[in-house]
Amino acid sequence: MGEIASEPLVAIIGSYYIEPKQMYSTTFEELAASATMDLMKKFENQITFEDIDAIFLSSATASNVIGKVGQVSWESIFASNFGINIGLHTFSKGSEALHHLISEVTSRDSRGSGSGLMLLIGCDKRSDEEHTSDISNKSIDPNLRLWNWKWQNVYACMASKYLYETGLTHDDLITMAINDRYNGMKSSAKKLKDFIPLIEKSEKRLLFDPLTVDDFAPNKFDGAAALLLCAPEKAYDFVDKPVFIKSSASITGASEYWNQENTLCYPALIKAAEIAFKTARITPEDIDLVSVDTKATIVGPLALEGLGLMDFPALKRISENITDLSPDYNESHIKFENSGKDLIINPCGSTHCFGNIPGVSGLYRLIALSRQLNGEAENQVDNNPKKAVLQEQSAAGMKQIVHVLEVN
Amino acid sequence: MVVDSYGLPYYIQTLKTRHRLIGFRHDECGKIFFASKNRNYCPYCKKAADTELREISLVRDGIIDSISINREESAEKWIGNRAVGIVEIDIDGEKVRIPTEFSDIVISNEAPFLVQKWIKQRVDPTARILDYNPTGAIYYGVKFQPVISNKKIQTPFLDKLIESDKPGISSIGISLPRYRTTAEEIAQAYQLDPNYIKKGLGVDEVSVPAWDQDTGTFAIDAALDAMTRLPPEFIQTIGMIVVGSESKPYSVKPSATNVQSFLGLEQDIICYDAEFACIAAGMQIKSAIALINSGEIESALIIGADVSQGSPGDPLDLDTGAGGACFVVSKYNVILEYIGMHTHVGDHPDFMRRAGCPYPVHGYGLTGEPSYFHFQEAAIEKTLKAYGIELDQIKAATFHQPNYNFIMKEVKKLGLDLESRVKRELKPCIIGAPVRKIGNTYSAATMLGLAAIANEPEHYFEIDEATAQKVGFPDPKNPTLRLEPEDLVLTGWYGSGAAGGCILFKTTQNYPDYIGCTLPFSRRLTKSDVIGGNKYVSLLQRYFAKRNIINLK
Repeated sequence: MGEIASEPLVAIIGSYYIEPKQMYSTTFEELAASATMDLMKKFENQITFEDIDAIFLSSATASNVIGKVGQVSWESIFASNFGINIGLHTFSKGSEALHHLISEVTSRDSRGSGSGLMLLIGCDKRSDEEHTSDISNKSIDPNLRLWNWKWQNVYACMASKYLYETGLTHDDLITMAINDRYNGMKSSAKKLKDFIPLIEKSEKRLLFDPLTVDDFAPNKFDGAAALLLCAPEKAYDFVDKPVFIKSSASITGASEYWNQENTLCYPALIKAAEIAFKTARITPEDIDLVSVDTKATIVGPLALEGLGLMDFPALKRISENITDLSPDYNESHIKFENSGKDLIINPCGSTHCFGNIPGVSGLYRLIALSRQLNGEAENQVDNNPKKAVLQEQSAAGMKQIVHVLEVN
Repeated sequence: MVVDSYGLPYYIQTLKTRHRLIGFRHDECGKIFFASKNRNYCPYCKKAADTELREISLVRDGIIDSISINREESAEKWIGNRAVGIVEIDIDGEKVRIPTEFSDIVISNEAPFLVQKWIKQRVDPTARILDYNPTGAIYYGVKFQPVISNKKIQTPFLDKLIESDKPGISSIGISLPRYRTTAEEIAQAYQLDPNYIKKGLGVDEVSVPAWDQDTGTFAIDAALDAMTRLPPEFIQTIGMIVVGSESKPYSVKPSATNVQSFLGLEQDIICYDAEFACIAAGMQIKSAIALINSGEIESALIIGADVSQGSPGDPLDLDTGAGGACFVVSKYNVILEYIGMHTHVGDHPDFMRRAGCPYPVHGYGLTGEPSYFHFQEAAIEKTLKAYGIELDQIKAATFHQPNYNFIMKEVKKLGLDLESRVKRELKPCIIGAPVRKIGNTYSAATMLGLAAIANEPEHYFEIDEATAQKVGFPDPKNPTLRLEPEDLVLTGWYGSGAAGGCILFKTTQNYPDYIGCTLPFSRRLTKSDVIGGNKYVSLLQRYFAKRNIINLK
């Protein structure tokens, strides 16, 4: 194991995800079990289920649909797929599950108990919501629901204020979507000019003014992802290039965001970023890759500002950068400068490309970042990244989770 | 739209928030904030308050801090767009933000949304329907609407309670929808000659409620409007609320309790809805005065509010508008002293709606001379006689106004018309007849007629200079009249079924101060395409507003 600035907390040694799409005929536990089995196949001669210490399972909606603790809970139905008795912990967010997994690994490691191997699994189904209600609407403050707000309105209101305060336009805002779609496209022959027409189209596809259809990540997808993690000192027993998680911070803020001194920021993110960078003993300037949660385009600049990677108004820099690029630009990814070096934002397109699948989209992005770091990504970036930061949010941005990742 | 998990208990638990926008003031740090639940922790100074945080109502004008327009609810696009956002209000220099839904915002589906146009726009609070419970309950709450162009801020005309010699009206509140539709459009829809409405009924246009307005919201808004011209402590004197209407949102469940809740009034008060066709509210004034004189109560809110009830295309519907008015009847700060009231009643079914029937019917030939004119005139005659007052002494008058032609015929019959007055070398009588521009507002009709007189600082007359000089106008070149202390005002009422009524008022010394603090009635009829102005809507939208043809595409 090589030298790193601070002790890593946990290592990612394997990952697998099911391509997000609408899968009406597949159930929650089938999706989760399928991703898990495919991941375990990669280690079939090294690891069995008997070696796993615990499973951390996330889904934002499964427990509502299937059952919660005290009922026939969805995790026991999941466990019946494998016929095992195991510590199985459920969460609503993938990043939240990871945060708690790290505590478990650290705790077992210090006691020297168990194998130190953990499974992190996420799955969610949003296609069903066409026939029920939008689960995400329960993520906003009840005050807002009193006045018929939907979760999209929170982002749209922040966007309207952001545009008003900065004098920027929706054309500037949509550049965040262009960045993500460009980076998410795997073809090497792609050209920036093919993505620019989004600006023209967006005006005609109004949804939650000032946000359009193109400003929101798809929210009808189903998906599942699984990661195998272990204590850092055991990582090289399984893979040559593990990805280490250096820090993890989870902060929850007040849902009454209108009472914030500044409503154009996420105070919880500012605190989470501060903790995450401090624990990892790095600064934002050290970051090569960042994945911010772009379930709506406006989150992109707000998150980059909250992480300390760009100053307000970050959207102006993003917009100017894309405008400055040649339309024939066809390098692997759109780059931004961060203290004299390249910073790649959302290398695989983030939520905008994977879809807003609340219990699992964070894990998709975690896998995307870790594959960029260990060189296994299909659309590999070319700045030889070493350090990355993953930001994920829920409850309309009032809950924020930040992870710092690193490879040797 | 019914929002998930919104049961009746939740509605009841959140009444204070929905109806009065109750926020909290932390006296230690001076910050005010809005939250739906009782708090003992200040989100600004991050400290638990030593004493309980003080409740404060945040119902007041503000500016739009952020806004989002919902374009996805195609079924509800028939009138305006649903919009939500944050409003910023200023309380003694302290900025407070409140999440809300906006009403009366109209953006065409094709038009781009320009944040620069909307953010920082002034808005004022209005009572509206928020939602419907699956069991049928209507969820009312405070929303914000763009402010009427050039709106004058209304303030109390006296800064404290001053007991008057006799009880009477202390303030008149008004609530009218922003939307209008024209006689031409109504006629075109029913393939009628527009003159049938314009000349036959004398109505040029009618007011149309927004999708989230009904009799309940008009009643509340009218009461809130009336209270803006009275000192804060006045609210504690109110011991009675009555809403008179023939278009009650509920058959069983009063709207008066909505008014009580929105105003945050004491719960130990007389509170009920009244029904007697268009005189439902008028009949309550005498009772309120009697209760005040007996010492049982000090003040009462008498409210008339209605929306169109007629079958689409029926003559009863062609000229019918929507709106509400509130008379604050009190022994304090009186502007129109009550002289007396007489009625003339009889079992006379000239207009009725049987239980379970969607629309009322009327007796055609029975409704004019034998009903409206006979009953109203009988009551007027009795009242004038009882108080020894001659019609020539009347400075201003209004009557029930199912249409403009009826009221003007009554004016002429009583010799109050311009021509008759001038012939007798008298100054003209000020006539309150807003029906021409807003349509028949049923229970609110006479009340809005009085509002058009008393809430208007000056009344202009089309009269030549020589005649103006002859009858004694102070400035014959500008023949205008205004109400002054000691002026006599006659109000005629009529309700099918039937009853005529007449109430005489006399203006007091408080009136000049009152009118100086009041938004002129005519300003509320302003037509404009700018933000906050009245807007014309199609007939189709009018019927959506009535919920009569909700499935029409």
